Amino acid sequence: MDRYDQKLSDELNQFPNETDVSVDLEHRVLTQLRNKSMSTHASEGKRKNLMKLVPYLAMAACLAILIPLGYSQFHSHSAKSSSPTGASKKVTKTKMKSSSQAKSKQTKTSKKSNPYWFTEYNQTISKPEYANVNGFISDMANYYNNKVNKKAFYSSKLQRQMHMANVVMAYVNYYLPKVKNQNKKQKLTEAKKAALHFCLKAPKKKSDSADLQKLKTIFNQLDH
Amino acid sequence: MDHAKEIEDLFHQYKKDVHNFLLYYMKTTDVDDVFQETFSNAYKALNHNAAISNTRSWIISIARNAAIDYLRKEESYKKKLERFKNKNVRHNPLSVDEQVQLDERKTAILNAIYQLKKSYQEVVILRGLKEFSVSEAAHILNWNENKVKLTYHRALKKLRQILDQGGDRIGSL
Repeated sequence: MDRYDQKLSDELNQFPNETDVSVDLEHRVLTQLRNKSMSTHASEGKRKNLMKLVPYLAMAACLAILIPLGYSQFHSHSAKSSSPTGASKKVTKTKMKSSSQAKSKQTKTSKKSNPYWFTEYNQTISKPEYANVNGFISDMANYYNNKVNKKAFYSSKLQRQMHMANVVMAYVNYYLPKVKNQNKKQKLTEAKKAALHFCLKAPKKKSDSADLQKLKTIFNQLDH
Repeated sequence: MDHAKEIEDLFHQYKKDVHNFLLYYMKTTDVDDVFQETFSNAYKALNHNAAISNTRSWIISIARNAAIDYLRKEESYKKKLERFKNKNVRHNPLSVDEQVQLDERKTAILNAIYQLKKSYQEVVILRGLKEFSVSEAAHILNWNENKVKLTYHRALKKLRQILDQGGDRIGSL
């Protein structure tokens, strides 16, 4: 550092190093610091309380997720096991699958009105109540003999038929133990077998559906 | 752990020093908000158990950061104001020397300092006006010591040059 710089530096060092702070400003800063201190205490207390609650909240959240899941599992399980004649597992699965398909279709085409038999099908799942077996058989035969709504809710005929077969399964399972007439009992058993076979086979083409034809015939016979 | 007592002690010990630094650094007498912000930030830092080796340089570095933040915000505010009102809002730098009560020569030097570029201003304020050591200034500016020495040297040369150009040679030189 040369002479000039040293002189300049010395002169700079002679500048006042401190300035007075107004009482008002000093008071303001001190008040703020004290308030902060108090709020820090308060927030620490709150944080501690919240930290205590965290495990309970986590547990509540877990329960809120798990309980509905468990309930739905239990519900589906009990629905399966409460089938009156103990329908086979595969059929129940098919039924569930088809009902879920129906639901998804329903949401997709919510503007379309539900076909008559689809509404009936939904009712069969929740409360299969007919006055007697004859009424059911008659209705089934009617549905099956092209009294189904022409504007089909389902995109393909096959899909509709599959649902129909499932409806048959549900009704037959329900009414079979109640039928006294041996002839009707036998016909219902045949219908059940045909429907089951049809469901399992799931024919790709209309021409393949011999079981469906058989089912139709049986219902025609039952109707008379 | 709360540091309420500690921050009050710091406030009483360094309030004048910090206020003085802010006056020089911000070139304005309107430093109340930044002054308040400085101690508020210092209190936060204490509560976060900040490592402090030199208290004075630590509090001045906090003041510097608060001032930088404030000036940046103010700059953006000014731009917005100019855009909408087409009006130039500026602080009067001469008010600082009135507040610090400088004589004519010192006022000339201070005005010359404000003509330097920002890094020179900072190092002159810290090393020259506030008499921080090289290591303290390096800590505050977050530079290495050699850079502080070199920049200060260059800043003094530039300052002398400005003063010479203004026909205001220092002392008997």
